[in-house]
Amino acid sequence: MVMLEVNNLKTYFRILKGTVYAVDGVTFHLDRGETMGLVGESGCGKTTTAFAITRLLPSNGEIVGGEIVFDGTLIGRADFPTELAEVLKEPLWLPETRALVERKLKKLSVPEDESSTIESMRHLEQESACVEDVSAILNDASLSEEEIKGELAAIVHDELSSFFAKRRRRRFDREVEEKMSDIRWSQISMIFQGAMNAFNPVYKVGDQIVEALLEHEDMTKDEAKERVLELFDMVGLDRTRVSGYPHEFSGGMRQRAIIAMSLACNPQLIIADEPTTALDVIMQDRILGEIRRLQRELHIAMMIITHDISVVAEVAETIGIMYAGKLFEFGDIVSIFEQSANPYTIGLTGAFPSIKGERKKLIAIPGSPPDLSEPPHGCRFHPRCKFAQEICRREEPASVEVAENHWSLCHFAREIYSGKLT
Amino acid sequence: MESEEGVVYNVVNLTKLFPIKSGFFASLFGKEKNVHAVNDVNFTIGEGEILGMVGESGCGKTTCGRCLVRLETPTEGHMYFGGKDIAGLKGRELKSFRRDVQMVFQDPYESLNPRFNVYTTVSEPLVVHGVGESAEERDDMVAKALEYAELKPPEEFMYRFPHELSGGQRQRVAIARTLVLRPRFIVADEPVSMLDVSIRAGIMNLMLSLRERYKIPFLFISHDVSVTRYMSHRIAVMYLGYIVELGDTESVIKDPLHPYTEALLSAVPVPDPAMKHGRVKIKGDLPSPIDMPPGCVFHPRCLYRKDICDKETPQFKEARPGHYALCHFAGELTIQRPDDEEIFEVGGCEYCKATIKKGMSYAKCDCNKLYHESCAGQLDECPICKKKLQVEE
Ligand SMILES: Nc1ncnc2c1ncn2[C@@H]1O[C@H](COP(=O)(O)OP(=O)(O)O)[C@@H](O)[C@H]1O
Ligand SMILES: Nc1ncnc2c1ncn2[C@@H]1O[C@H](COP(=O)(O)OP(=O)(O)O)[C@@H](O)[C@H]1O
Ligand code: SF4
Ligand code: SF4
Ligand SMILES: [Mg+2]
Ligand SMILES: [Mg+2]
Repeated sequence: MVMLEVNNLKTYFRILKGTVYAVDGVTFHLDRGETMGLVGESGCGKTTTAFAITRLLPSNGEIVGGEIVFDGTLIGRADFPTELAEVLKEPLWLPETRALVERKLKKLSVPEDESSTIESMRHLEQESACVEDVSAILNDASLSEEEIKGELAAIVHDELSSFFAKRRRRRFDREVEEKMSDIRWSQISMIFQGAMNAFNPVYKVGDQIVEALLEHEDMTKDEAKERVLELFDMVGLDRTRVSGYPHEFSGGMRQRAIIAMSLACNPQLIIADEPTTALDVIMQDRILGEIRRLQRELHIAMMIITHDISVVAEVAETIGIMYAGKLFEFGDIVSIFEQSANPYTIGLTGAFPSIKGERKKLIAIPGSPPDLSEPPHGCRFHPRCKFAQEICRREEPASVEVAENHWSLCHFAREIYSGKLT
Repeated sequence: MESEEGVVYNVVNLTKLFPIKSGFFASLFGKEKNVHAVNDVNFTIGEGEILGMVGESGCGKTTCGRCLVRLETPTEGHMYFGGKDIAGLKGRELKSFRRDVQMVFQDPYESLNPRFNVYTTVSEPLVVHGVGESAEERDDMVAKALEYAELKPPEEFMYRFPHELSGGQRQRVAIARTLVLRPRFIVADEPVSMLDVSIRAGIMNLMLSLRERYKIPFLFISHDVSVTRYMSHRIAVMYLGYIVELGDTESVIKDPLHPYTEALLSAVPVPDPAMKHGRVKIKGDLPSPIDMPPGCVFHPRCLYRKDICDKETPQFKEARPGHYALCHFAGELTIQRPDDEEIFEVGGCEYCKATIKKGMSYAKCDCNKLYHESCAGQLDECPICKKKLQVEE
């Protein structure tokens, strides 16, 4: 059963010299109790994806497209005019616009009682007039492409600048914000990158977790203290450690305490950003073992973000491979490891040394990841891809479902999957 | 003994202590305390050989590397470089030794001066050591070094500043800088740890091809066992300042002798979802390098420990030809190997919580939970998603 649905998510940062297209059309889903690994090299948009889901984006970051639905509730999206405005800037705006409008219309026509996203529909309804106007323009055969673009731009301008639209947007933002802040604490918890170094050194670790509990749960101080002891048991920390200070904890113990804190409000989903990156390999193995045990015992869904594909292999059931703001491959981890349908994934695994089996010659991927304020045209991987053809420089590939629960973003996904292209 | 045939570096009983600055009274009445960074290590590096040094952070790898290029002065021991003990060199002799050895550091962002362009950075060692007759000759040497580091064409890179280079290119500049003096020995301290996977392989292959072409010996330091395996001819495993195991790479990785190496290898994640690791075979946490455990340094964490282990210090024993371990029972223990299939588990049973090992029959539910065959028989349906369970293997 789907718990988290991320649909064509686009999240950009405004910077002095323009825009960083940090997350640019990412689609995936996570089932209840499932663990997903989000893998990619640094700067490819993993943390930004997590921040968009938990609505913790820095002030210059904004969701400009797509939706995030958690447990049937819309918790993040761009409104239609904003999304349309972004689409109109793209070279391939017409097919994108049609797809966008079609998606919206489909959502709008779902009968309320059958929909799992009633909340999101309520807001979509407010925009339905706008969506239908746009649809009418798109279907007007008498207009040229340029004229369509002009008309749409005018609608976008009106919608984004009108007083009522602004007020509506602000109200929507506030509602989402409120809902999100509830959900964030009670249902989704995030372990930040480097969080284990974020304990305040002058307070006892136990007290810091008690404080967090008191702030977000309705309980007495004694109850909170009791709960902290339980949490320490859960993550394999000695109960006597609650009165220890952060500097008395080793790296691994601090990471356990952070995991304990993330479990405090019985979340349904934990997003952990590089949870083992700063740890030595033996400590990493123990933390991964702990994560596996928690999955088994508590049935919590997890999203583990890491640059290390082998860490994901240890704990996850599904995997998403990110590159330059896009999800290049997504789906069942065994299927992707055994039979990848994507040149970037293949490149990444071929560059990875292992202690298993024979010593294999590693093959580097030439060049380096792009600056996301000026991503390459067409497929973002084409300057480094050994399979690249003319079409890759021109056209962005679409996501192809090569097998059940296995998607790849590549013009030649099927050929690569079936082994016709090697 | 000091200058064997084909040996470039012969390190004998190398020890490096860092005294701890203690309070006045403690130093009056208490014993002087030290950080035991490197303890009595012995190894050789042959011509054109890459010796890998691997271990967890704080085990003394960097200190050992810094001693070898004499950025640190050893507390005790001898280091014969080309037959000559350089452990105590000073002044002009030290400077001329330093011309022959180079170090590549972990962080290509920190090790390059942001105000120097590539040309200035790479030519600096030439200027410092007064190498090269003329400016043209120096230009030529810089261009060659950049080419060796695969920054081609060199003119395109010479006048760029660090911020105009990618992470991989910066590390190549750092490598070019070490190559420009044609060193006789290089210490590479975690040179790829900060780099992304797709770039890392290129830098590793570059170092391998340099060794191939110029037969420059390396000490390659890394905390990453997989990376060290890829790079090295032989591997030294360090723990708390000691080399606990030393041998040919494949022999150490595939058939380790020391209980610590076993633990280290069992913790290394492998990029294969079918292979979930067995539990790591080690107890407790790393002790402090200030109060070293008596007897075998590993005894507080060792699963094979016997009575003798906390009393007597083990010898560095050659249990197999060319393969040494610092353990009383080296060669006598049954140590798990990374390729031993039976240590791998498929996952954990949802019902009884015990592991499901490879080859066992089990049921996998649609919700991805696993059950032993016998547990599935008792349950009939998955308690989580209520679907009927079917045994697969
Ligand atoms: N606050 C910000 N302002 C501008 N750019 C940012 C900001 N945060 C991140 N970025 C950029 O967005 C891209 C994605 O970053 P991030 O999501 O942190 O990647 P990852 O977590 O995969 O390393 C990078 O190019 C990064 O430089
Ligand atoms: N200059 C120094 N002064 C005091 N202690 C040091 C110094 N350099 C290293 N150490 C200590 O020596 C030990 C070994 O450190 P290091 O050689 O950096 O290990 P590694 O490179 O394996 O991480 C550590 O306990 C470290 O804290
Ligand atoms: S679309 Fe083209 S460039 Fe992109 S990954 Fe596929 S083959 Fe490579
Ligand atoms: S000497 Fe004893 S304690 Fe040390 S590694 Fe060998 S068996 Fe373990
Ligand atoms: Mg990140
Ligand atoms: Mg170091």
